[in-house]
Amino acid sequence: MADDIIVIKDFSYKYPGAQDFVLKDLNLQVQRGEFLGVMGPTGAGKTTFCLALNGIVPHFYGGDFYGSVTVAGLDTVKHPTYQLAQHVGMVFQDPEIQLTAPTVAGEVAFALENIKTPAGEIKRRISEALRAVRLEGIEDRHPHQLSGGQKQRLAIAAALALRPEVMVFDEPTSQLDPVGANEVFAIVRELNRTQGITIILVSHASEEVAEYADRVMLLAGGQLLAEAPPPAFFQNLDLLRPHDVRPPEVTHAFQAAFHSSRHVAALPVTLREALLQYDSIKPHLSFQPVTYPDGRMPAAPGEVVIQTRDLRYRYENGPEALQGISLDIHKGEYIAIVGQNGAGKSTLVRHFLHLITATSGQVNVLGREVTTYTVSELAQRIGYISQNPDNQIFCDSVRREVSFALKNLQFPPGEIEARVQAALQEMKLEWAADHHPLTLSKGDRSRIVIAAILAMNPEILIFDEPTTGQDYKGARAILDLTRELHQAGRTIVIITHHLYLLPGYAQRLVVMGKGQALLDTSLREGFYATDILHETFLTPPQVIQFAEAIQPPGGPVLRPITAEELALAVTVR
Amino acid sequence: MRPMYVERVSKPSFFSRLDVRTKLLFMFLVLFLILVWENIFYQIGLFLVVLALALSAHLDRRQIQQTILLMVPFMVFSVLIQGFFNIIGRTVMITLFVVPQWVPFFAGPVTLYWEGLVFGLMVVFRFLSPLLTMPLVVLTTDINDLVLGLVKMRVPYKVAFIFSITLRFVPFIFGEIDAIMEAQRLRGLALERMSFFRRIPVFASLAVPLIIGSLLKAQTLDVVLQSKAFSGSPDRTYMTDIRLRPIDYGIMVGGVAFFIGAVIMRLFFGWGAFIA
Repeated sequence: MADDIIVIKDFSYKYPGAQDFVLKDLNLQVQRGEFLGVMGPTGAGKTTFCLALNGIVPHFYGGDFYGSVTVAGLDTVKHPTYQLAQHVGMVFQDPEIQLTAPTVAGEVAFALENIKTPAGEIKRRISEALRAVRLEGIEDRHPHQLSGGQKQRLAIAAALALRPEVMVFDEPTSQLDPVGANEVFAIVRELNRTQGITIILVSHASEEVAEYADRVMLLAGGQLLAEAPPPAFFQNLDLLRPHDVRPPEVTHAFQAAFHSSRHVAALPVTLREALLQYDSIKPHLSFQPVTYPDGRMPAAPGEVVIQTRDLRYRYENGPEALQGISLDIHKGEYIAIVGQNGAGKSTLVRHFLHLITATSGQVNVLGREVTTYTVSELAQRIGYISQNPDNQIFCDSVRREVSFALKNLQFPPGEIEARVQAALQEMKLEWAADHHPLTLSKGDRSRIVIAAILAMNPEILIFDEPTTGQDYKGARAILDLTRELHQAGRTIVIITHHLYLLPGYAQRLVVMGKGQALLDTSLREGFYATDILHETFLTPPQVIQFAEAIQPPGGPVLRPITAEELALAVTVR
Repeated sequence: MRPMYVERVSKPSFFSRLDVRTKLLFMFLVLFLILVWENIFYQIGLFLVVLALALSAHLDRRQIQQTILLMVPFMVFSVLIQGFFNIIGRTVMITLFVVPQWVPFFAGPVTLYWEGLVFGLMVVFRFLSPLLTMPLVVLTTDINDLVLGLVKMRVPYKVAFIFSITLRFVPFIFGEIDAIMEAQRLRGLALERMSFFRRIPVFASLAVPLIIGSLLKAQTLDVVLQSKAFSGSPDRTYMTDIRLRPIDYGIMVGGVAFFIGAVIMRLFFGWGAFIA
């Protein structure tokens, strides 16, 4: 078509030295001004697809390139990357690595300097770009001083400065907290609507993709398996599920609860659509009360293992990060601590490990003041797994890594052997015992770290943002692991901002905001405390929003936290 | 470990308004002058000039203080070593003890001499002047101007770029080091209780995750730079512009003239020679 800004014909690509093609026979046209969502499992070739749009594939990597990719009229094989980069801006997943300059202004200017833009024009474009992403006024700041959301917005500004017709986003929000993610989506949408920029967005955030995209494509195993506008795309649950694409929650909920109704023409993909459709099937529904299995906190909770009383913490010459937290964590509980970046979640947990000392207030672990323990003693009782497994791997074999702590703590060799074996078994890593940790996948490296910590036999485990940066399948795998560990009798604390993943795992929810514990209750009660969640910019999962909206007046109170629970409450006549 | 990112001085001053090339020349002149002179009064004078410039440029007083205090152990060490062992010593101040005659090489009195003390003190100021000059230059200069200044002084662009990238990532690397050390503490490594020698392999083990993490990130950095039309070529423009003004020329010429003058006076008239 005349107005196609991207034309991909019979495109296949293989990296040099690779066995298989990473992209196979892609055929696609993207219209100028379109917003295209790209979804698919890890390893589907989505990043390679993005890199093919600005010529990095094949110019930078080499490899075998078949077919053609034409962007803004330029054949990507015949034109060098620095020329294509003026038409295609790219924003990557990692907020840290894609900022290369030591100042905000310098970052925006960098690409312009590379293409020899005169200095006066550079200055103009810097203001323009920073205004578009709402980052004016901080031109001289070092990127280190910016929040995750600000960093990504700066990356967008840097790409925008070239005034590209197309902007490609490769999972831009997966490392961000909800506030940061919202900021980024708002800007992406604005760039599309007000400036007419063509957007290619790779994301796992189904709800946002359903809301903003004109079309969505499914890339799996290097092939284009489907492409359609969101309503049609997300109908096909049988196609999406085997490829680890999670449909919007509200779609799933509708399908689970109302699929048997002949009045449902097509599954809605946004909350708004869902509520509209609901109105037409409402007359055919009846509701029954449901006793939810975990509606109340356990009547007789176990002994208190961690306790804080009016815990306060202030950074030196800084703000008060914790403003009086009082919390009891009981043996055998599974607690989720949620909140935005900066709410104090990691700071709080660091007190449990005696990595930092409270400015005032008390912290007790297993009945003793935390200051009476050394960090090593505590580490044997509370295992802490931080977000990046690569910062926690120090040895050149899995076996040595798992025994690392035990050797430092001077356990006898026989005991070390036994514990290492047990930990490897529990994490199903015996096959990798003598491998170098870096030859394993990222998911397996996380398991190595967990095994290394389990070797110390802690009864409490703290997971700090284990699901950030993971796709749906990866996130579920980690959470399933935590459930296994919980069922084996350990106390689990998980820090996350992915609320929608928690049902089925956490029993208790602590919501933190600006250094305070805003809420501390059962998962279910917490999800329905929508006012408090909104106060701290957390969005409850769509099922909750939907259930609240359709609550039949005078009918049984709906409190489902999953699609399946919603289905239990509804009968279709 | 605190991240090595220090706030640039935001308030403008006479010194900060100078071109970066002038400031760099000033820094080199200071480095050479400290070697030309051995007179303690001259060294103190030079230090006071640098200090006055630093204060007028609104450098943080507490930081200046801290930098100087950091040098105290070195100061004591220098004064004592020179005082006891420099052969220019003549005037005896105190004699600590006498090493018996039968000890080879070291036999004789161990005495603290006045001349040595003075020399030791002079050496201290030799270090303090450049120590203060460096933050003075770096913190009063916009980073982008600094990089451009290097390029205009014929430093290859690739080198200037590496300098810029380093400034960008150093705070991040320090953050990673903190995270890695914390993770090690949580695996039973109690650094506080280890002797210095046992700590060395521990620091080495820190290098492994740090370097590998950095290498992994560097791979992505490559792709990121390409996407920003980077080619490493010096054929590019710059967003800032730096221009030498008359005052810059004046100071540079004056500075070089002063230096040449100082060398001549030292060589022919002994100005700045050691006195005690």
